[in-house]
Amino acid sequence: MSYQALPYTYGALTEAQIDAIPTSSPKIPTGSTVFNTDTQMLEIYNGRIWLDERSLCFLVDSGVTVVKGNTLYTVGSGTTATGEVALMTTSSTNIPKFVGVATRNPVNGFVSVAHCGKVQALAGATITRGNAVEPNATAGRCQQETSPSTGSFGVALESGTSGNLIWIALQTIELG
Amino acid sequence: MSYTFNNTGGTNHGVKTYNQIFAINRTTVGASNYWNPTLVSGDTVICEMSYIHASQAIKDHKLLTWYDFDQGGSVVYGAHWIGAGIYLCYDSDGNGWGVGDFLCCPSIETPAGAGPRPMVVKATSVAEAERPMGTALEQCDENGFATVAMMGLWPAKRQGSLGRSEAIYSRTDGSGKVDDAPIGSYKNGAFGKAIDPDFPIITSTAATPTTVAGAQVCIWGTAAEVF
Repeated sequence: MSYQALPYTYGALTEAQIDAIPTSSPKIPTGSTVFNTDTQMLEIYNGRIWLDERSLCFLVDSGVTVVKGNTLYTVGSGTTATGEVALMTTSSTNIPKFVGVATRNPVNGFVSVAHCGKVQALAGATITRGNAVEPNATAGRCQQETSPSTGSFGVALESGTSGNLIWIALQTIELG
Repeated sequence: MSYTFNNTGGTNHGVKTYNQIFAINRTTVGASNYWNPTLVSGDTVICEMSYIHASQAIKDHKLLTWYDFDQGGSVVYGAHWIGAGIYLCYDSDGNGWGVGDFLCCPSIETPAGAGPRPMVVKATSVAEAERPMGTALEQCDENGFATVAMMGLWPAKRQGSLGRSEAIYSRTDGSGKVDDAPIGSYKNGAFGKAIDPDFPIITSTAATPTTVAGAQVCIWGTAAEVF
């Protein structure tokens, strides 16, 4: 139920304000909504984390540390694939397993992963706006590619340097 | 300030499962997914997709709006649940389709009845399967209009078992199923991944319905692999 200016449970809030909403005391009902004024997208609480229309919920693989902006792939292959996510690498075997970019830090091992749309990705090198982006040698980060080919997964919407969160247009990864 | 949308999330109908909203037996009394409200254009609901992984429920949601495409006029397009990445499409080849069928862009037809709506078919060739569109949310009559989801997590009929880490493709045999076997050169036509490899698709209106094998697949939503 909403008594907000927008018909969402928590109205319109910044991402930091959303992440500061207590989720356990009182417990937020699954299906609660809020408009994220940073991403300009509606978010829905799934009982664990907030998710928007470009994102799905994944469990982070045991022992892996994920932060907002990390590029991710699903571990394992064939019948051994678990669907859990780890930091994307430049390995050619991981390219078909790419799933997207973490839109937030994980909460209790669960992370929101964007598979399309405008999203902030963590740069591993200097990136110039307009170039394609691909996995970087530092796992979970991206770099620019001026001749896009296998492994490219989007286009940089702004320039930045290593360690920056830069906005990219996340697209289908080039498989080969 | 809204006092009208007084259900969960500020919606009219709160959270309902995919099978409550879209399965063809949803209005059959006695079905576990029974839900048969009177809908008004503009009504909203949150569609829940869920699966169990490592003994934990993982849920994803989409906000949907019931929209009368004819706005009270003569029925041409009808009223449908619409949301991000969902499009009202036209049955291009006159064969119709069922809920959970995977649909592609026809490669050779130029039907006159589509108007501004996207044309889709169950792929019968590599050329069509290389142009994946999305998974059907509604049954469609011959040369009719029905909704197709082209982005995000949705159920689709599957061929055999699907790995969670492999790219997936439309079949080319007219079955409307998805498969993780490549269909042509390189990875042409790859459109997403299987997230939950086992989600039965309801295929009858009985309270205890028949089902076929399906999966919850993430449709990338930007493009298929084309090179």
